[in-house]
Amino acid sequence: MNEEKQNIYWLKGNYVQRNSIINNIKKSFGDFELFVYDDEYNFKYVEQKILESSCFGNNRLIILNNWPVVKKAGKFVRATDPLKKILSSVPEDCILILNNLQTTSKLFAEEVKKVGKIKEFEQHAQKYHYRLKGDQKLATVWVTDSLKTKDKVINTDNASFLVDAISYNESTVNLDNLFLLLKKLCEYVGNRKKITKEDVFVICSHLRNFVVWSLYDACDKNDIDRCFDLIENCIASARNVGEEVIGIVYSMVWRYKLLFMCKELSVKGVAEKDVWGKLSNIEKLERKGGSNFQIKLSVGVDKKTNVRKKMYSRAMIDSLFKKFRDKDPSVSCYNYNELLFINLALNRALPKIRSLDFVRAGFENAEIVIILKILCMVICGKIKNISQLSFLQMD
Amino acid sequence: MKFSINVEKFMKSLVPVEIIANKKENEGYESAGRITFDVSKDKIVAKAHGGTAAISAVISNDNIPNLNYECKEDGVITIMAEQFMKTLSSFPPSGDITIYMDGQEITASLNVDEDVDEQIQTVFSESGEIKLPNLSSKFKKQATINREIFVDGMDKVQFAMGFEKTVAHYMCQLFEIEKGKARFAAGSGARFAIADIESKNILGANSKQTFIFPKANVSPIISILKNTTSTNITIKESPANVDNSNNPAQIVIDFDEGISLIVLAIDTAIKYPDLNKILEFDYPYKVSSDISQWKYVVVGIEATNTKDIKKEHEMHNANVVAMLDKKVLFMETKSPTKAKRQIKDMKILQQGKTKEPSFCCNSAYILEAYGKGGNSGDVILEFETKEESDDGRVKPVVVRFPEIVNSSKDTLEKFTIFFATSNR
Repeated sequence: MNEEKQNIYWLKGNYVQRNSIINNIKKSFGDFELFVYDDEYNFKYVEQKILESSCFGNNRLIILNNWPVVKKAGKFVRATDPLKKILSSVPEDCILILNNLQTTSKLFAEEVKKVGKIKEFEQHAQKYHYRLKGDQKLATVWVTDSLKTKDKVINTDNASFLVDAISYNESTVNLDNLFLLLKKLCEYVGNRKKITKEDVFVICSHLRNFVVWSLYDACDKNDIDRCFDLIENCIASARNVGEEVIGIVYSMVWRYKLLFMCKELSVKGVAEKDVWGKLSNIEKLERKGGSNFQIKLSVGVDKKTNVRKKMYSRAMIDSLFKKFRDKDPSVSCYNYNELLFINLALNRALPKIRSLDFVRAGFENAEIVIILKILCMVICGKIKNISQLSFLQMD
Repeated sequence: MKFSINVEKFMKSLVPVEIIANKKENEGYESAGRITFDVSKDKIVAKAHGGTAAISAVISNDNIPNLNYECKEDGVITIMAEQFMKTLSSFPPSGDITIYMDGQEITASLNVDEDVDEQIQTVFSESGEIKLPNLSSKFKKQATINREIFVDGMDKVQFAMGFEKTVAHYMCQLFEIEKGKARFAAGSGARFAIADIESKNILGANSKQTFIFPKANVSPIISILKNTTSTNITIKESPANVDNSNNPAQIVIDFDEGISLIVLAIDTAIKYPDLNKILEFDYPYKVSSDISQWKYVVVGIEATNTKDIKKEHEMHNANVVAMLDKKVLFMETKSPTKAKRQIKDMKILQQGKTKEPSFCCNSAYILEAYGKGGNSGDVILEFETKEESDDGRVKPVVVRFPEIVNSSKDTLEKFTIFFATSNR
């Protein structure tokens, strides 16, 4: 790279680190004129602004938050090529920042490398140690480090709660979402230095992922009071109660089906380490087709890797067999008959809830919430008789 | 609340108040579009507050001849300005009307003889009296200037104000005044317009004073002052009172008798760039030509700046070459239709090392240089080339227009535009 000319920066990745670089550039720049452009601007206009000096010889900082556009065959398209062509002519009094511009063009990247710097930051952080590569940081370390810079302390368990709250069932967490959650947490605790478990629960209690994940935690412990609290918290802030409850029930159906299959395999004598091998053959089906009469189910394929999607990931299955914080492994929280009964109740409840939501068109959701609470009572072992669930029978 | 008043005089006295109440930048402000009348025995105080500017106007028989104001009952009312002005305009201007509260309605009734049928118009009264920010009692800056000179100067450079929100320090207009001299300037960062006016009617102050008017208020100020009768206006500025949030930084313009226009949302931290750095720079190239010769050349340049280019906000550049040997100023555009035009009889006032010095700039600046600087006399172009610049940063091109002497106003006006070149 040409060391003499480093007035072009291509910043990629999470917002906080990009913003920190931009702030450092601003600080080191002294007096400057700032111009910010995006896809609302024509490339020719942006080009003029890049090439036109300040009347008073001031430095200029030009930030492109999105690609300016050019008209091609009657349509506005990203000005990737025209921008590439002028990169080497950016005057010395101008610092050009390409702020998270996305392109697959290798030629563009090569041109930026020639005349400027590319700074790439992580967009996602891994949640598990065994997936880390190179200098990657664990998501919980991002949390503790970020809070440390704000003179705040959090223990690893609570940091893990925060991460799980926005990335349940995922092996990575989006750092922008995580930083926003941390910002909210800091606003909540104010000047207080130590962050407690209660702070984290209050901040996260309205997030569906957090509710679902905490709900399973409470179900596994047969803690029906906590289940009810979480459901109330969830519906209090839900934009569409019906949609929220249906989402939770779908998630329950998925989880307790998996638990039942794991238990079934255990009963048949399959060792814990071999369970993944058996279940990894189940592929994820996706809907295709426009109208109700033409919907077809076929195996989903990951567009990037072209690999057929699996129904369950290894991490998901592993988590059911592991002791987590103060809780026994989920698989050992239920016996075979309990899981059979739970699955029966869930599979009866789902169509009932969906039909109620459809009929009520979102106006009256009390019955849907009651059904969800009854399902929790079933899971927590408070209802054990099938006759008590006769009301779930479809008319 | 009940008073009678002459329609024409009342409407005229309300014009400045209505402009502030209805200025377009008010959108969303709580008292936008409304006027409060504080009616008392000897006067009405009309108040409007548009967020970035407020006004208080005293309307009484003492400062407005033939107003025929008579207060029958004190009171405070608030009305929607637009509807109220329409209501007033529905009566003959020469007539007197009585305005009074009737429940939630305000009635305007034409004063007629008893045997003639009553003619009335009603409007709804609005809730909430408009409260103005506290007027400062101490001002750090104060200057007096002839109203017409001020309006002309502000109007002359208004077009050049900045428009990009990220360079907020150019979304304003500069007014500098000292005894006998005033400077009005505005710019976008890439192009500036400066009007320097000399006149004995510029009373100024003891020392040089600088005022910076925010963009949102420039148009209303010009509109209001164009429609008043004062010979002179007084402009005063005070910083915010940190102990009182209702006493913000403000520029107050006093005109006519009893009217105070309070300009708010001013940023006292803005330091306008030193224009003299450019205006007093000794450029290596100075050429002049008769502005009347620019006419067809400029039309030709403009003709290549098609509707499509403007619609898509593309930029349109022009190359300007001073052919010193031929004494020709050559202008050219290439995007995408072409114009190659010449201004003949160029006079060389100063010349550097290059035989054909040139610069490239936005063609709009060339058009402005022609359109804003009158249509006769010699226009002087001053510029430098990259090779002859001190640090490789080329100074802007300066266009000086012929001085205009206005004997009726007793003014001498020097108008200058300077604009940045493009590194193409």
